[in-house]
Amino acid sequence: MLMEKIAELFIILILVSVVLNVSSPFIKFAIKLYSFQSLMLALYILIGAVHFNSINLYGSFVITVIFKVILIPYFLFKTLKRVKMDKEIDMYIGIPEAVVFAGSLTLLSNLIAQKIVTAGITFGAFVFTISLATFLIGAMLMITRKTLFSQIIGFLTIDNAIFLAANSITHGMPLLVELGVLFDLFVSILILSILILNLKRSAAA
Amino acid sequence: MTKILPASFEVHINDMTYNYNIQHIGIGIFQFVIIILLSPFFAGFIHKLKQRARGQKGISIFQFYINFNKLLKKEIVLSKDATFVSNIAPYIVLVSYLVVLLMLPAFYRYSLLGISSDVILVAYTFALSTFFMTLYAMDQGSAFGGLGASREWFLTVLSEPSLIFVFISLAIYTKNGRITGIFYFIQKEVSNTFLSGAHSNAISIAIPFLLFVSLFIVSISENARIPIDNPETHLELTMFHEANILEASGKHLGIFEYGSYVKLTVFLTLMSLILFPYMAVNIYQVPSALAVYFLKMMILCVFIAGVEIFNPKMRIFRVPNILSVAFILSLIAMILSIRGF
Amino acid sequence: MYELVLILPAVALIFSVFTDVLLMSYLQLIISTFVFLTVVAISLSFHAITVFFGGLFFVDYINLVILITVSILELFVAFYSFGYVRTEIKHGLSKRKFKFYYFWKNLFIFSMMASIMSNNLGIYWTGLEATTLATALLVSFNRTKESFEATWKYVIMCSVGIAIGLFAIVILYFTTSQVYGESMKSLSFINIIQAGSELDKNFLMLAFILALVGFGTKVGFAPMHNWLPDAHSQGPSPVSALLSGVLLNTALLGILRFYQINASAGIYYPRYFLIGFGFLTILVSALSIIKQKDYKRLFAFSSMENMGLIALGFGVGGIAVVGSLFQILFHALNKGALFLSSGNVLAVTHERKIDKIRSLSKHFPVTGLMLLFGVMGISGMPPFAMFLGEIYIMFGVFKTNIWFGFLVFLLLIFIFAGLFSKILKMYIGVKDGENGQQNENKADSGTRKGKQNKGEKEIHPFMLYVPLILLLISSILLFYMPSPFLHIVKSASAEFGGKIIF
Repeated sequence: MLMEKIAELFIILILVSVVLNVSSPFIKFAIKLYSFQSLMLALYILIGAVHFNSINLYGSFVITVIFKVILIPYFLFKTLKRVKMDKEIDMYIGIPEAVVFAGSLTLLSNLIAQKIVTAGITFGAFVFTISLATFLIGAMLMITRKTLFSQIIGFLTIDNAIFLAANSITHGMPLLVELGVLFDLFVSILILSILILNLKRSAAA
Repeated sequence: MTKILPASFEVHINDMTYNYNIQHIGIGIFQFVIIILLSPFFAGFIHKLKQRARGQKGISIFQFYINFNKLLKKEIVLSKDATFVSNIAPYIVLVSYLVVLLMLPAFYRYSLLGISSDVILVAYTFALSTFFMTLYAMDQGSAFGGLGASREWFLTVLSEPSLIFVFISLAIYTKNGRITGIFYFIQKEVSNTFLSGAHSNAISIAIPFLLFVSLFIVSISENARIPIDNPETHLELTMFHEANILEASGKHLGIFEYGSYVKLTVFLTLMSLILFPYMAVNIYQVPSALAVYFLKMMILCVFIAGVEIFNPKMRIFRVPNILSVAFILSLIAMILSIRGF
Repeated sequence: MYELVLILPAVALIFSVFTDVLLMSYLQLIISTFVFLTVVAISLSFHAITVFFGGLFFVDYINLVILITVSILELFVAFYSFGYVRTEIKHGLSKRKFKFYYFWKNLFIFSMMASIMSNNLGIYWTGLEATTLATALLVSFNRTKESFEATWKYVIMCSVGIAIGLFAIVILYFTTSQVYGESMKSLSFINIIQAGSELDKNFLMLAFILALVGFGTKVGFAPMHNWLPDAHSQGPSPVSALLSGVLLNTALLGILRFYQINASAGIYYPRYFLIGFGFLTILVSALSIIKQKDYKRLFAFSSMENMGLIALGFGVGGIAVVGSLFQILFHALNKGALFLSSGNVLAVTHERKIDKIRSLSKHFPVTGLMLLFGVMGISGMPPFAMFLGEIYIMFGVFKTNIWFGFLVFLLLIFIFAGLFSKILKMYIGVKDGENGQQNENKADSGTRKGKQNKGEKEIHPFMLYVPLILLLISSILLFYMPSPFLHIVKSASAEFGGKIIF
């Protein structure tokens, strides 16, 4: 019982960090928030692992911490340092509008989750709402911002949302698949970092 | 012949019975008085913490009491254009905060105005005080007053929806319209759930947490704290709250200042109640409840001081960003509480 | 034998790290030939679904069609690369760069093979995402600003699209884990199909829509197609051929798998989504083709159109499914020939713009002819095999609704006209406002910009004749279809409820 409530806290912290991400125009802060958000996701997985005593989820916790909390933010910071792009991000719509839009996306995902998730699993409905909202807000982050970094952040947010869904409606995907997914994610971040460096260089030349 | 008060009397509103007896009234008055007396202390404590963190020796924690005492003795100077509004506004501002304070069950469940502590009333009593403060600012006819009033409303317009949503979602979440009822419900359910381990879907951590974050942001903006406003400087460009009371002097200034301490205390008390409601229901629990209340307030003061120390002041056009976050978080809390768990 | 299809590209991958580029080009020829022979042997002896590598991979009729397509095109691309590497090195590109080229290309082939043959949907996803990453640095091979921008668009859009596909797989896993429990079995395609009728229909429908949008991004369906023309036109021509010819089909396979799962659960209305997306894709590409100024982008839009046509065929059902399965192979052959010959045009003229290239027939007869024949093939003219695929699909569409059929037919004519108006200008056209004589001089001076430019003799003969052979195969296939392949296509179409009468 207590565990379920604490898990709820972690989930809501994921949503809060996404909304804060929408409200902030700074890239460094966004990367820090992503790391924090992944940590919350990992702790949520850990609580599931303790609760169901599942080896699969313990493994999932470990690889999430290694890839999402440590490695990906580390490489993003490194790239950021090399391109020297720590200014505010240009946006197509203002921040307050974007935040209000994020709120309405949460409302929408609440409606969708109520339609889809059957009455039997109430707790699942809550997580599904949050993960759908995170997914949509991540997509919104990608659309409304002009900087390349925020597209990466949006993509990573979408990925976290899917991980949250995978670990809430099921007890996690098989470990082999999860490892493959995380490795692909990591490599794609590396490639995107290389592309950012090259784009910066070719724009300067 | 003096008329003897009855030992207890009952008030009926709608279907709820609110039982006033001499014990409730007594402890209610005690609660009211002690919070009024403590409120300059909390403000002073935050101030002291900030100054210590900056490496200054700092003023005494009790300096604000001395300031108030000094200001009360001084003469009031009013502009020649001032009307009667300037004479009544400071008192209305202070009284509206005191009315909210009377409703709050800070550490005793039966607060004096608990019967009429409707959430909507609480929210609009705050708005009343802001209205009269800005009226006072403009009544003096100085340029800064108008500037301060316009900025104050800019903030209030942005933060008031979140405040109202916070209260409404608390009301929906606990299915109770009164502040006293709301926090007693949370206290009861939390103790049921965590102490006896009974499975309950009635409470959640997510909703109070969201409300706490939202209320925290709102209270920073309403109380003119650092990321949004900095009342310590007297630069015209940075003034929000301070520009309103720039013309005030003597007793009026003292009352305004005291009002701001009470306002801060009211917000901190609301946050402490959402964070961890612990209220005495009879006279024997009062000492422990008072101690817990004081401890919670201290922790929150440290928290606010921390936010003020580690953040620079924001540009005015970035203020809507953070206030919109507060609004959306309270909205999400309301959505979640409508659906229930 | 089945394992070899996966092992051989992995071996080539390892070789590409350690060996010299020129040696590697020989090794690549040998390995690609062996892959091709293995696939031929598989398809000759194939009679039922075969599982290998402990149930993680399998071959059935549907992925066998795509496997054959991949192996044929890969073989020809290996031959073309043999010439391409030599030509470019002669022009002064470094050998180290081509080492990367072979490395990424083999990684791409390997992950594509893994993803095509995977029985496990998780492995399918991993392989598909890996193809995006492996081709990312191939698309930006030329290291120009445009190519980096195209790659960025490609990686971001496809990654997000495939992430949506992962959401679909998660929801499917949730549905199937109620039957099989939480194990690898719940992601295994064969097992899911067997338990089709027991699954929750609402969730299956949701999973299909997410998969259609997600993997559809990688297929290049219309609202999500923005990345496709840029990425396909910026890469080196052999890579463009592989991207257009086979990678799109690999992504389409994911959608088809979800379609099959839905069909096994008795849900048939996903077909309308396929029809809708297919039609929209054809419409958008028809409208875009008219405005193109870059001939490689033109061909990229043409691949989009063909993918739309294939999806339309699968959605319509009946005889159109047969047409779609034919089209998968024939489109790969023709588009391969077209991209490879457009690579030759690029190699001899160093121009990407249609307006800058005129009178190919005079200056570069073989290259120009290949380009013209390729465009004839891609727009479905009779001596080439795509005629067969398109006519089957059109039969199916006309059978469902005659007015819809006319509409699609009109769009196809539109595309045909758009393609030919551009390419004929390139082949025999003269520049506006100048008489013939001046134009010739201009073209000559244009080609002489590079020092000692000797026209077609400059490029390696392999580069010159590979498109020719591809087109030859394509036109042979129209008149003579090998009976094992026909059998495979028939059996594959039976799984989608297709019928064929010969």
